[in-house]
Amino acid sequence: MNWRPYFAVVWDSFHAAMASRVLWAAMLAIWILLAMLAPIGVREDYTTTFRFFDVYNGTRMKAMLAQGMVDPSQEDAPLGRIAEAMPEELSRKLKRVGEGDEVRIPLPMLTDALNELIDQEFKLATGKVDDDESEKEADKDSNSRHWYDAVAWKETVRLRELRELDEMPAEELSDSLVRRRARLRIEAALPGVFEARSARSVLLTYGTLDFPTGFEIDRTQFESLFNQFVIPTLVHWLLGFVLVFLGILVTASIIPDMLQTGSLHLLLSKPVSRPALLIAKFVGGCAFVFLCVAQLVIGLYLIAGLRLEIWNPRILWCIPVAVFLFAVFFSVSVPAGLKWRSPIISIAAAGALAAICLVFSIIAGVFDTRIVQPDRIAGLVRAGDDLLSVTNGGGLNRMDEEQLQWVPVIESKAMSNDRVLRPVAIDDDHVLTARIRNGKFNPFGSGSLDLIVLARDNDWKPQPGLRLPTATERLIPIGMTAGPGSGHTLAVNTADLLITHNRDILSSIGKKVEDSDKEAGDENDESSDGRSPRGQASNSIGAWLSTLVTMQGGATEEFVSILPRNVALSPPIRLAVPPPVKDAAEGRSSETTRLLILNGSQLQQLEPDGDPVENVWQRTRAVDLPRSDTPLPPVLAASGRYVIASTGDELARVLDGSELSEFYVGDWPEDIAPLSVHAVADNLFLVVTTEGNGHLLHVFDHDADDDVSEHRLQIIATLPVDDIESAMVETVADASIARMFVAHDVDRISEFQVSKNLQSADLTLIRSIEPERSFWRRVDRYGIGLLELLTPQVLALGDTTAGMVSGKKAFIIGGGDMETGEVVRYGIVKPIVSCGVFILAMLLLSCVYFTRSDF
Amino acid sequence: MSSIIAEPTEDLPASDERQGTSGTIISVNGLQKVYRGNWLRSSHVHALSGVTLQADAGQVFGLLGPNGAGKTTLIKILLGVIRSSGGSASLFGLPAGSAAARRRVGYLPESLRVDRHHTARSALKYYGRLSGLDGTTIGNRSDELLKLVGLDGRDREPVRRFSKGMLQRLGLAQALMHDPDLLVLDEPTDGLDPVGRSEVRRVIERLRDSGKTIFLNSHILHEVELVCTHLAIMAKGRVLASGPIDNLSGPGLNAATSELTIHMEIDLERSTLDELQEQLQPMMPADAAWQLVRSQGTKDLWRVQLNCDDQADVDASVDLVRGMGGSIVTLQPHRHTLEDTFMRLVQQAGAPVPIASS
Repeated sequence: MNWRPYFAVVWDSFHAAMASRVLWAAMLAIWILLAMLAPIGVREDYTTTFRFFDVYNGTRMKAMLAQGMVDPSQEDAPLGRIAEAMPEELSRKLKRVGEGDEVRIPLPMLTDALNELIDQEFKLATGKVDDDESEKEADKDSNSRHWYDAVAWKETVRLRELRELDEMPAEELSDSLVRRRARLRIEAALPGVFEARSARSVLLTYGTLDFPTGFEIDRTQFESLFNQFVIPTLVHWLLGFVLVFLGILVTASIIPDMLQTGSLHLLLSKPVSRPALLIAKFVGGCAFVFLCVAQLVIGLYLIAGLRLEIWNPRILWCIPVAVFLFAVFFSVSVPAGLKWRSPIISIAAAGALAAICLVFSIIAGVFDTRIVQPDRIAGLVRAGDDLLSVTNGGGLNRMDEEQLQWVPVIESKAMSNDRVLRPVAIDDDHVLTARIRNGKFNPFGSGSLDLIVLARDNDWKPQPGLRLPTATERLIPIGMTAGPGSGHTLAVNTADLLITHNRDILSSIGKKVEDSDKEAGDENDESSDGRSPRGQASNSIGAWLSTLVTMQGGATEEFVSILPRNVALSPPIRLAVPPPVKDAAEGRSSETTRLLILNGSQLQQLEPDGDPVENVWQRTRAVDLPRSDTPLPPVLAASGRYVIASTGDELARVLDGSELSEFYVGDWPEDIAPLSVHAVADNLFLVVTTEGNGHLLHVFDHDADDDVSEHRLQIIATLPVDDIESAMVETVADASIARMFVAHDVDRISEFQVSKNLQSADLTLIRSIEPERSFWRRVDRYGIGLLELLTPQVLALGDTTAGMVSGKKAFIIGGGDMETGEVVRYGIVKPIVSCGVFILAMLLLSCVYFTRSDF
Repeated sequence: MSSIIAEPTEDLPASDERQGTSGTIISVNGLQKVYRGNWLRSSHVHALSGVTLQADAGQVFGLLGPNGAGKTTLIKILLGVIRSSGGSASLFGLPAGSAAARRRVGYLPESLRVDRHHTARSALKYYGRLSGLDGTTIGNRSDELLKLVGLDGRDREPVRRFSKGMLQRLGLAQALMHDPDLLVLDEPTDGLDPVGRSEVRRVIERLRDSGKTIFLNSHILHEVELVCTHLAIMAKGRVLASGPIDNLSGPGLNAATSELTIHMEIDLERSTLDELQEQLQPMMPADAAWQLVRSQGTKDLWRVQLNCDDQADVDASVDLVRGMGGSIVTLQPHRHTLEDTFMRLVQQAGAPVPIASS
């Protein structure tokens, strides 16, 4: 076939577009935009000032400062010194908080006051006091002391960075480092208040000017934000709508112009094929948009590289994606132009498609948020033979296996603001959970928070149990034996670990538990004053401060703190309880409960000091793991033999289970992006990835064949399910098999069985439960599903752009402080297939029409 | 005009493959075209109702007919722009509309439209590429053709500045780009001023003289008379007559037609009028009547039109008038022209008579 005529048509379309004034106007606009963006740059500096979004638990900060203000024992402690240095107005408010009044203090007011302290420290350390302020400062100094005192701060849990800065001679510290040191000192004095931030952060600049508002995230976060949010948004909206619309305006006349009598008959008299001629015209139109988009994207790529030092060639993927997006609209404009021979109708057809896509996508979005999302399973628990799940809509369901449907125990609600804690089973008949009112807007869980106990004999109806510590985010049952009411339950909040007896929980719903330790437990309660000193949430400070302690997330009547003084929690936190092992080395026959905490860059192991409730636990091991802020969440899982941890730096770390010594560090096999990891057996782990797949990971032992030494971590099987929402592994210590329950595709459950002994993949699907869908779910599946099938998924191409630019397959939104946050999976291929099929169908239709019509 | 004959290029069929350059070029047999209505409009339009004609190599074949006769429809079928509803049409022995046939045809559409962004040269390049020519051939041919059509020196000007005559000449150049064996011109001088018409006609005449086969479609009688060697007259989707321009034949011409018409003015005694009228009645055309020019005393001056098959009829009518004492004031013979034939055929077919006749 001679392609020359068709290239000529493509080139002619291009030529025609080049002659269009609109193209030059578009190009001018692009160059002006690029010129305006070009001066944007970044500067990296130490993270020094506090921003309101750095505060993780504002209520706790308020309560701690109030305690520092009114508690005499804190007067010389860091808390007291900081509280004392607060500005006058804030002091007044804090005093009222200390006196038990409900006072609202805006977070920026607190952070501004702390930033003022950083300034004071800086001025003092460097002697840089402005002349006009010096007199005022002098007056202030004469009747007040400086907030920092080295001796007082010795008591605090200082991060390694602060210890190193404290040891450095003052004259060696740069201005930024002095401020950084001051910030770290404040963070040390207020543990559990701030989110972990990296030491360095980027500041946006424009030319030689710094942006007036800070942009205090670190470089990795900045890059991730830039690649996953800024570029896709810019491309999707600017290219997707402005340039595509402009492209349609310019190219809408291509087909009607071709059909004008004087030119069409001449074209058709040439020895060219009609379909090829039409396709060539189509390609020519796309070529015009390519010209505009390529300039903009290459310009953005160069600005990102030269000014922001983000050389990400993936940005260039935006060019084909944007041209593809245009092609979808142009493919509708072409048949409309063929049929009606009018540019206006061509434009209207493309506009109508845009409107239809938008409306359908809104309808689909509404169905998704109101019908599907509330039903999505967020957590699973099994009590005896019953399966319970907690949903995204803040509901709790029980599986009725006879009817194959979820029976609501607590109703799910669309757009629910309530947050239900992932339920835990304390025995075969009792499940614990809690519901935080307005949980999504009440991250600190202020207000009353009661434990909800679900009992089998009460038909799993929710009953209020003990009062939970404020801001409890997770419940962990430990040390349970076969008997009812055995063991303990840990409540974890942002700053503390608190424990209670399971028998007390059962008592709270009116059940008498026969327990041999009961007497001892009572003794403990009576002798609480005699316990070893507790952590920062100690309740020894006096009854009149109990409100403040509760506000800080400290002990309640039943839950007592077990967090040792030398451990400070700052989110994101991951916890794991390794299965009990017989501690033969120390000759103890009892099973030892251990708790692993991955907190920032430290993995720490806590063990009870004797009775788990009586004393504060001891930190028995601590390992520093390098940490960097990436979009990946940290993960932690512990089997009896190995611990798998990742601090979100995209590296898998396998540690020896007992010594926490490093066993393997390397990339995750097959470049998976883990979202959560669950221990299945000693050397077998279930990994759920951000894409929603489940893989079985095998850890090969030291003594295995040398060939595998490089690949100590291997995927040996992949679960045959997609879109995994949640997973649960059930292991019995002595059994040779483990059972895995996987919630997937909104609310389906699949149960798998895997052998714990074999190294090969021995995965069996036991059963798959597909619960009966409600009416609206059926409408969503068949009605909305059909609409989605018939319309090109143009809006979802934004996901494709984000996925292609970032190279990631999912994006994790917020949350994830205690458990995995909300995961947005990029459907990269689906929109391309949907749009591609649409383009092909439209072109086929156009070609058939063009070939069969008389002109 | 050897300059317009291009060297064969790799994209054009080799000379031995170029069958049909002599003999019959266009053969149309019982061709029909019905435009069917859609679901809103059920009426059908019969654009062609069994058209049969033939054009041979070296002829300048004119297709004459009023607007709506089906001339352009016939050309569109020949070029493959539309499909026929029945009958057959072939070019060079190849099915009309096939790519192989189209490769050998140069076409100038009625009211050619060239995109505004083109210059004469870039337009020729574009259309040359569409005909499958390579860059060098296009370059060489462009120079020759621009000269031929008188656009040399203005080839870099945007076509939006061109007059309609210049555009038509550019259209002729593009039609000749690939040195076609057949040139199809659809109303080449339509809408042009007399100067423009003359320029275009001159180019066509030069092509004719160089031996090109040209199929020309027009409703302008004078133009057809001037340039065509062969002709077909169409109306209402049918061919009414066809053949060499001075020897047309066809079903519409089978009825007895007189060779010439005479216009006579006769000065006559009023009393003999009735007898003379009776005697001359067989020679009177059906639609003609005696016209009284003036009356003077007992004499009247009458104007009359008579059909004569030959000179003997003329002599006989003069003898008759003179025999009855009439005086022949004027006698003007009028030989039948193409226009008369055309008008008569069109009127017989019941088609509207075109206004433009020159």
